[in-house]
Amino acid sequence: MDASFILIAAVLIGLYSAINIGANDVANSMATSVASGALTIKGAVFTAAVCNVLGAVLVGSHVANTIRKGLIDPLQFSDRQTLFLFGMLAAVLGSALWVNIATYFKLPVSTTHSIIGGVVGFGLVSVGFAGIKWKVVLFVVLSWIISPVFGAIIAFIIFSIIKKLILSSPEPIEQTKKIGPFFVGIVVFILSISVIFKGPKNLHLDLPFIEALLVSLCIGAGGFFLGSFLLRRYKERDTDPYYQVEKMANPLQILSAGFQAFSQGANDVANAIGPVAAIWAVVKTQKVEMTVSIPIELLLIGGAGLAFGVYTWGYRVMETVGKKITSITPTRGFSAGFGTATTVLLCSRLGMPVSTTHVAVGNIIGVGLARGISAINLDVIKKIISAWVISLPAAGLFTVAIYFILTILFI
Amino acid sequence: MSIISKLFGKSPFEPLYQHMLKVKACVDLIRPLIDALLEGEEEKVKDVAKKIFKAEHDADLVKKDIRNNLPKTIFMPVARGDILRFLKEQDHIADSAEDLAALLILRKTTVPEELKEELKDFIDKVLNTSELAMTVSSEIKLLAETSFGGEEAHKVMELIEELKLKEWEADKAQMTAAKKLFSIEKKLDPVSVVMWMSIFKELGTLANHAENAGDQMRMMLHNT
Repeated sequence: MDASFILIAAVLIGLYSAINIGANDVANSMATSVASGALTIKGAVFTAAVCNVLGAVLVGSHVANTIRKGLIDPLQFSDRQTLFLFGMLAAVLGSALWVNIATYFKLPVSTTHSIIGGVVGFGLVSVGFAGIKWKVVLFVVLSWIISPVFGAIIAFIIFSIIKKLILSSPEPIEQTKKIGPFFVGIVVFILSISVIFKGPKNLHLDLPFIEALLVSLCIGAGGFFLGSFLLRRYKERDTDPYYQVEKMANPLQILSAGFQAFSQGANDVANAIGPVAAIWAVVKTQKVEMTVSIPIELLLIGGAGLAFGVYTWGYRVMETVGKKITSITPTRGFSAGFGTATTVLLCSRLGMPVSTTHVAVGNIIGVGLARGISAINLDVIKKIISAWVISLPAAGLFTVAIYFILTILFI
Repeated sequence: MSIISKLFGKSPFEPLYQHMLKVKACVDLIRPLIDALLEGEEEKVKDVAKKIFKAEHDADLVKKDIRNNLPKTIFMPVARGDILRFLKEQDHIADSAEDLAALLILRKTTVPEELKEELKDFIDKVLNTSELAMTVSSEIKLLAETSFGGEEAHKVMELIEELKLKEWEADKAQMTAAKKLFSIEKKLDPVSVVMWMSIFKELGTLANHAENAGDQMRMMLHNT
């Protein structure tokens, strides 16, 4: 089979996965904003689409590289490139197939777990147990356990701060005007440093640490002053001050929702284009290369796929989810969104493919532990864990089956 | 469907507020009920009593709905037991109002002239207590908003302290009324005396449940 044909097939399947991911995961970042009335569905869909693309393009390459070459060393295939191409193709196809089947049976599976299951499954049958970098696999699996907990801790702390400094205060509105700008500044700072610290070379955003820190501090300060300016313009109304605080927190929540969509784009684009990038590198250089960096175009295609999914099916998802969640207010939404986004972005920068949904769930529980949410169904955790455990072998088996079919048909 | 939406359960606080409104509807009918009794309008007593039965039934429906939506796997900012006990006490207020109404239509009861003043005073004190309990209860949504802590919890705590005082005043008024009743016992037939004792007891119970509801609410507050 022609290598460029494989590439086209992989791009199409990757695009299909991206659309799926975009459609299903938009609710994670945007549902709380829609539910609390901070954003309309239209506004949420637009914000999510834009932020997804930005995250994918600006920070997406790190996780994609892990999937492309972190789990299995492509150099093992230097004398049998076709097997590698088939394997990566089988991984995208196998995991997409598994996610579709699982969704049909209403299992809350993670695309991230599936793609990792797929790549590892292919590695096991092609190069065997010793050919897989188990240390990386171990770190990835650990990150799946640590990331929701880490996120929960951040969300717990953020909401506790809001509770202590704003909601418990006799003057909650004045306090919001004082504290709010810090949150804006921190979000902007984290976003900025995640992009420009050793960021994409092709966009000349690869600053060394000190420079990136200084620039980000300046941008963060800009965010602080902008937030301060906007919050000071708020005019008090007649309703209870606590409800007014929620009104004031609306823009903060939208900010954190965008932040979350950005980090989601950064992490999830790899699920769709990680294996595609591996195939692309082989086709481009005609050999199995390690050093080629992922082209912006590929990240852009993945990001556009996410955005397209958000625009088409995401609408419906948002409608159902938004109606269901009414118990979350902007201060809670901000806390959970901030924790999720920070965790996912950190993992993205470390090249750890994590499940953004699981991190979001962990964060909401974190706010709940700080007594911020009226009712949380802990049943969901059991469902998530069982889907988690099934996903790895299931996606692996699908990939292996497709891999064998491809090798039998074409070799 | 997204797993995120499954994560959020049904909040018990809005329904608790709704339950309070139904109980308040019962409590608010006590004044018209006693007024009709004082004026000796038998038909009107029956009329108002019927309304109380209806309101009590409505409160029961909300109570059932809340209980059905609180499985053990649901995680809330306050303990599930505290919520259920609070609900129970609040519901008892409506039950007492219902029992009182039932007593008044069981037998034609006329208010002896000598007892009128004490009865009015007692009713005032009982209603002060139950109305304050309703005010405390109406804060539940704001309490959930502020995570049951801080300034808002402090405010509710002060109301609960005041509630205790009101209940104590109702107790005193009950004593005065009972003393008055026995001072005129010779003039009344024994069944009437028994009847009045039952009525007093029911009113006293209502005030007690109002106080207990406040105490249960206190169990939900933090950092005060």
